[in-house]
Formats: sequence, structure tokens, C-alpha cells
Amino acid sequence: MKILTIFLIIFLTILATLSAGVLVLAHGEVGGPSDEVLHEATQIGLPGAKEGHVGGKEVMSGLTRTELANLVHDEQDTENTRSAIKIILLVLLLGVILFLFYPRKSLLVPQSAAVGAGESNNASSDS
Amino acid sequence: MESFAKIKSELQQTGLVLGGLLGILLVYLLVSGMMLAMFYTPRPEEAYQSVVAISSGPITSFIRNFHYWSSDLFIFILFLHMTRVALTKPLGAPRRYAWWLGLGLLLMVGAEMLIGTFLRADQEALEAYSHFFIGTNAIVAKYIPPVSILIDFFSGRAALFRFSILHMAVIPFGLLSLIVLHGLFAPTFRAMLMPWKKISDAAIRGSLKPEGFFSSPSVRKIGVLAGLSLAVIMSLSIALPAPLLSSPYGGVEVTKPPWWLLWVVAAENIWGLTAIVVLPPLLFLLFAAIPLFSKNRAGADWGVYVYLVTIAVLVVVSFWASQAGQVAHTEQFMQQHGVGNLGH
Repeated sequence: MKILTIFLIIFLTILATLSAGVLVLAHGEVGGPSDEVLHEATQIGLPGAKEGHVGGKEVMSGLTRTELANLVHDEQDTENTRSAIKIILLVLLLGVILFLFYPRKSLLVPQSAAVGAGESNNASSDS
Repeated sequence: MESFAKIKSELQQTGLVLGGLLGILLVYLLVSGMMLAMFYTPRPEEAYQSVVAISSGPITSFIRNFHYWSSDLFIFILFLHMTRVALTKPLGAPRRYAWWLGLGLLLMVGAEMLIGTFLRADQEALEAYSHFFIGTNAIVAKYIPPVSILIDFFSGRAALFRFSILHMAVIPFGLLSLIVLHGLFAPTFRAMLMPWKKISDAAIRGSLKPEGFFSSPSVRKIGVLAGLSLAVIMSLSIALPAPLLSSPYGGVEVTKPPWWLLWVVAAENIWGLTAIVVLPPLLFLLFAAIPLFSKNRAGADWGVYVYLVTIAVLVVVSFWASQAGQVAHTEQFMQQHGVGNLGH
């Protein structure tokens, strides 16, 4: 139980620290170079850029990278939020499984080394 | 206090049958997937439009949403089931084999879901494929050249069709086959089969009584969970549509993968694209070693600690990646290594 408590404290501390870091740094360096500058070689529609295709037809005068990013921006934002919610939900459910099945040491005094062999796997017998 | 203990015991019993619920969810996925397959066109020039058409119709979009939410719930329950087994320790030969077969199933589920993302044929699908293509062809094949033959088979115009065959037939068949083996080694499933074993003579004589199986508490619990999960999936399918991004453009990276792959994104943010071919095998090796750390004694041991720390790290970095800014890993890799046109 003690180890479980220590583990949960460490886990929650890491989660809180990273969450705080994410909130501060999520959107990268403010005022830094734009995506066009960072990834010039892959700017669709610019010289030397790669081409896209829609419906089997090549798009010669395609979108710039930023235009393309804007196209998916709303959906991607929703997905990011959904992902975060799903991960938090998963953590909560994992917490329930931990509570139910964490293999605690038996409160019963062991009578001999042989007693209980093979029973330690059973979570309900440990609770 | 007594009622609390009773509720806890009931929940523990329910937690033991999560594997059965996974089987039911797989049936949901197979049925909805078969329906979707009738409307899907696995040709590169038509695939995206067919998904748009599926998402436009009220019935077909519901089926697509149902397939999407079933797969999400499947991954959820898979993690919970795996955690339950790790906590109750995969000890003894049968449970160890069940654990390792379960890891094989996890690998197949991962491949199935990744290929399912490819089949969407939208911007995220093409970017996922780009990761797969560059990761295998430009990184793995550099050290293991024969891999490029396999990747050639899954590139070009026929790639989408071949992936759809993998997604709709090959991997589901492999999953079902492995599930049978996994179930035969799993103690909970074997316990559920006991009534059948006991009346096997009667079955031969023709006086089989199936009530023995369906009236068992475990089977009833699976039935209740199946009904509950159906209600949850249907509600989510009506309220929250499955994502579909814009039509695909090659050579750029402006999206993130689904939530269950975000831990890889976090690693990519730190170590670059190479992380996607190094870390997944390492993770599987670590999971495979869990039974070797487990000890047959009361209380937690290294098997439990290693599993929990691994899961904690995965969850934390996944959450971080979900909120972190977009990083164009494939673009950076192409610029650094001078990889040309991807050829898709």
C-alpha cells in the first residue's frame, strides 16, 4: 500500500509538471520563424515543392503549407481535445483497476511457506 | 462497509471478464467493418471520395462512427484488461503463454488500427503512411535490406487495395485464430468453459444443457457489459462524428495521429523520426519480460512495478503530445537526409 501511495504521488507529480509545461510551451516559440521558412522545401505550390493530388489528378497550383494546415486546423484542434479527454478517462479507469487489483500483501499471518502458494494471484483473496 | 466490500468484490469479478468484453467488441467491429466495406473503394483516386460519401449519408456515417468508437473502446478495454492481468501476475506456464499470446494480439490490433487509419485516405492517413514508408524504407531497410522488398509490395497504386485486404481479411482472421489460443490458456475463460467440460458426456449422448454456460455469473457479466458498451458506442456515434480531415497532400505533415499513438509522437518530438522504429519494439520487449519479473508471492513485485511505471510514462507522454505543438517529423527527416519524392 505504501509503495502504491508513493507511486501515485510520483505519477501525479509528473503528470502535473508536464501538464503545466505543456500549457506554457504548447504552441512553441512565440514570434519564431514561420512554417514556410522552417519547411521551405515542402511548400506545396512553391518552386521545388512537392505536389498534392485530389481524385487522381495532380494539383499543380496547390496550397501552401500554411493554407493546408489551416484546412485541418479545426478538426485537429477537436482531435487534440478529444485525445486529452480520452487519456484522462483512461487514467481514471486505470486508477479503478489499480484500486481493485493491486496485489496487496495479505493481512493474514502466514502459517507456513506452503500455505497460500498459488493463491497470491487471486486479487479477491488479497483484499 | 459490508456493502462497499460487496460492491468491490462485484467489480473485481467484472474486471476478470474484460477479455470476454473484448471478444464482443471485436464482433461489433467486424460487423460494422463489413458494412463499411460495401461502400468503400480502395483505389487511391477514389478512396477519399468514398469516405466522404460514407460520412455524408445518415446511415453510413452512423456505421462509420460506430466503427470508430468501437475501436476506441476496444483499445480502452484492452489497456484495462492488460493492466488487470499484469496486476494479478501472469505466473505459471498457461498464464505466461496467455500473456505472450496477448502481446501478439496487441501487435495485431496495433497493425489493424494503423492500417485502418491509412484507409481513411485523408491528410492524416497520408501522413501516417508517410511515417510508415519513411520509417521502414529509409531507416529499417538501411540495416535490414530485405525489408524494402516488403515495402515495395505496399507502395504504389496497389498499396491501398493491399492494405484493405490486410485490414478486412488477413489481420481479422489472424486475430480470431490467436484469440482462440489466447482464450484456451487464459484461466478465466477456461473456468467459464467448465460447465461444458462437465457435461461433455451428456453432449455426446445428445442431452446437452447449454443453460449451464449461459447462466454462469461470468457470462451474465459479459452480457451486461456488452449491452452497456453498445449503448455507450451508439450514443457516442450519434453525438460525436468520427474525424475526417481534408483530401491528402503529399510531402507535408500538419496533423497528429490518433490518441493511442501519441506516445510515439512524444518520442519523435524528442528524438526525431528514428524513434518510431526503435521504441515500439523496445516497448514490446519490455512487456514480454513482465512475466519473468513476476514472483509467486503475495504483494507487488518487479513485474508489477515495471508494468505500472511503463504505463505511467506512456500515459504522461501521450498527454503531453496531445497538447504540444505540431512538429513536422517527416519533413525534417526528408530535409536532413535528402529523401526525395515518397513515391505514393
